[in-house]
Amino acid sequence: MTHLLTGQDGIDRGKKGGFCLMLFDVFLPDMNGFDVFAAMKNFQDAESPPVVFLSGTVDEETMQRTRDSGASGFILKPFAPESFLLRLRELVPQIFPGSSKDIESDREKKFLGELRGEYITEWLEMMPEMESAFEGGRYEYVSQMAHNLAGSGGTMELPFITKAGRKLSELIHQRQLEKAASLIRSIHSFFISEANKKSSETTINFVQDKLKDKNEKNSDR
Amino acid sequence: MKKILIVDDDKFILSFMKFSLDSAGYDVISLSDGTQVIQTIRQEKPDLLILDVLIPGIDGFKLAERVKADADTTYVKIIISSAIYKKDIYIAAAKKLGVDGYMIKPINKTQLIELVHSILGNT
Repeated sequence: MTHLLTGQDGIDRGKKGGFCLMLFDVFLPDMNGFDVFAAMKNFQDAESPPVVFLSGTVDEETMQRTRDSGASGFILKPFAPESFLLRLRELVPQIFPGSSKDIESDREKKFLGELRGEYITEWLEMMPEMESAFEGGRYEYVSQMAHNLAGSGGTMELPFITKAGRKLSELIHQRQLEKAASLIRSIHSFFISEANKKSSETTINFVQDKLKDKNEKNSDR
Repeated sequence: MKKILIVDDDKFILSFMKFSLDSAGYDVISLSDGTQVIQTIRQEKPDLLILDVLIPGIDGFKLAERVKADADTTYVKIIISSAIYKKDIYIAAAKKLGVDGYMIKPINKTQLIELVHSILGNT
């Protein structure tokens, strides 16, 4: 690995070639990363290795310049080492030989993790509704919710929820209301504790998250 | 690429199945209620329909029966899905209807893909 501090050094060294990947900070002391990449391209007769830009800030112009430059992508700083690697694998899988299966399983883990998080958040919000429906005697509705819990909990790797959903359907069907009420409370507590666990984990898709925040802020104005 | 239409009112299950079947190389479309199913089959010509029978406002079995009875949609293969509620009655009803498979939720990715592969063949 070669580490250089200025854009000019980058151009001089980059001209000689021999890299499988180049990472450019966008804001260098003497010039910007896009110009370094453009200058380097003029000297290379062989195909350029993949390029990824890094920066502490991101705006639409930076994203556009990244796309226009022909780079493989953009990574927002700061990042944890494992997030950086994961993102790099997404952007330039070709430099990680034989790892397409790992990428697939990383992608799957990430997707399922996010889906599970949304599932917990949404059910946590729906629990008061279920409780008031139950208190109001709308058992058909509670039954439908119990059925949905039974059908989805296991898929979201929450086997307790599937068991509890099945049991709740049964209790409501048999009109064992005291037991049903207590089970609904347990389900609620379970979602609360899962939501607390979840908040200690971090998300990985920071570029998109940050852009999304920014777009939302703009549309608020 | 074989095409699958999923009908389920649980958006999490829908996302999960879509993701799993996408990554197994199927083309997946979905509906969250039963009102547009026949029309969507006519337009999109999916190879397989995965139908949750307990979607609000519609009787999933009657819907499956209509799909089987309609000359335009009778070709489509059907998997009925449902949680364990009235499991035995539902499985018997599904068998009688002549559908191709039955899925008791919750399901995991491997079970889902194995069932779909066994009905559609590997893509």
